[in-house]
Amino acid sequence: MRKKEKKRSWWGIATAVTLAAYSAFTLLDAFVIPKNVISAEAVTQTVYAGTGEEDDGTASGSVSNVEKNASDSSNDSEIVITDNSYTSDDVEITITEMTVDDSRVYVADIQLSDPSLLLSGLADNSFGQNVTETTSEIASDVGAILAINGDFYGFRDSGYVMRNGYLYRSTGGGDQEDLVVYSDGTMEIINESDVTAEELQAAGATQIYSFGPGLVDDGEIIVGPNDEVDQAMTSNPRTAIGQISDGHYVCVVSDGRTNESEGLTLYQLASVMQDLGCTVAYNLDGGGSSTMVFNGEVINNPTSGHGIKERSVSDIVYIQG
Amino acid sequence: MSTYRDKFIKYLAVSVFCLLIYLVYNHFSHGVHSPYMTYLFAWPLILGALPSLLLTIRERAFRRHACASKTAARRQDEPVIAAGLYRTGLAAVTVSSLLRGILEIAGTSSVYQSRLMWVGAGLMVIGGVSWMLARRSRSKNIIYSKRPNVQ
Repeated sequence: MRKKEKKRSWWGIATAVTLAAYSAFTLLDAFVIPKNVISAEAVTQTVYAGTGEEDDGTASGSVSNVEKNASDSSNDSEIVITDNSYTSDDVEITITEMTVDDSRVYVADIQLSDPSLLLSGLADNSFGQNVTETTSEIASDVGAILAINGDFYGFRDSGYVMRNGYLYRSTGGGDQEDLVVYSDGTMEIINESDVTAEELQAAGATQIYSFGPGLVDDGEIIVGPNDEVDQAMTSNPRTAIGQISDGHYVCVVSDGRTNESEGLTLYQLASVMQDLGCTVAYNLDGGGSSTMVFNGEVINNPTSGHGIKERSVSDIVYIQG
Repeated sequence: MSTYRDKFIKYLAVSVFCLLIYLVYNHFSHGVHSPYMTYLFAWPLILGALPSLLLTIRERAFRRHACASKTAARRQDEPVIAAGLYRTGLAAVTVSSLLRGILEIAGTSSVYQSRLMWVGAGLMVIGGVSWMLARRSRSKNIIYSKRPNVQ
């Protein structure tokens, strides 16, 4: 009898210890341990070493072109910066704040002469899961004048990821809607079940963001009043990007989860983007990730946990200053 | 030796604990929900407390109609390994559900979580089937034997 009892208690202890260790490993793997890390710098260096020149017609070649064009364009221009605007020969940015249904909304109206100035930045200049930095840190690293958080691709192991012309991940996420930015600056919402990442690359895509859903397409709202991101059925901080016309973009970030700003539903966000004149608009990662940085300053009130604090993210969308 | 009534109470306590985990986590999840977290308490309740309750009722009914020695024999003949496998499987499934809830609320997923769920489900099936087979064969022994194997 006693022997059986003893056996049982050892079994119980062994089970508890094993499950606790396994759970700890699973959570560390999901949230902490960096995985599949690719250095964006190494990608660029490989291109130069492999081709001797920037453009060899491959995706990697595009990385060099995008970055080179961006740095060329930002040189030798007269720059005027105020608290809520930035003007250079190639870039005009105006930041406005508005209140929409009890939520504070920050709108960055962007006019670019060269679409290659719309870029993506990666945390630690590397692609990989659990490689994170705050939006303002990444913005500072890349010298962005305006930055918003990206799609936080590192939190998922599927969904196309292309940044500055380089295809980092081509694993589709089923019915996932992506935002594609082509080399001429055109934005398009695609469904991963309809087209492969390689086909998009061949068509001239330079950026693919996989969060979603798409908010506006052809000027029409494409989300329903009750649509939400996964399980969330509530108002939240949001980040969205959209295109009004050639070279004319808009980035929107809303505060949420605070007494001062409730946050927007996807439909409300889509309505804001439509009202701003977007022909295409797309929802990026929201919640605690939602951050807008202008001229080195975080201008919204990002919520991380229960305080006003920036959350570390995988990537940003930014305008080269 | 714990009775099925004791096990019922323990599983009920685990279910309440799971409900508390959900309530605390829900407070900090900004209205983001996962059914795996919301219904976490259902695993120990349905797959632990409910079978224990049924076995308690059955045991009491058996006790009314049989002699005490046979009841004691049934208790002692609990298939330990099969029951242990089932309990381990149930614990794995419950922990896996908790992990999935945490991951879903955060907006991510993990292959390790789904593996744990499958392993847990497998252990439960193996344990449950072995338990039933063992009980059936031992019940036959008790019924047909003139001298039950009581120590």
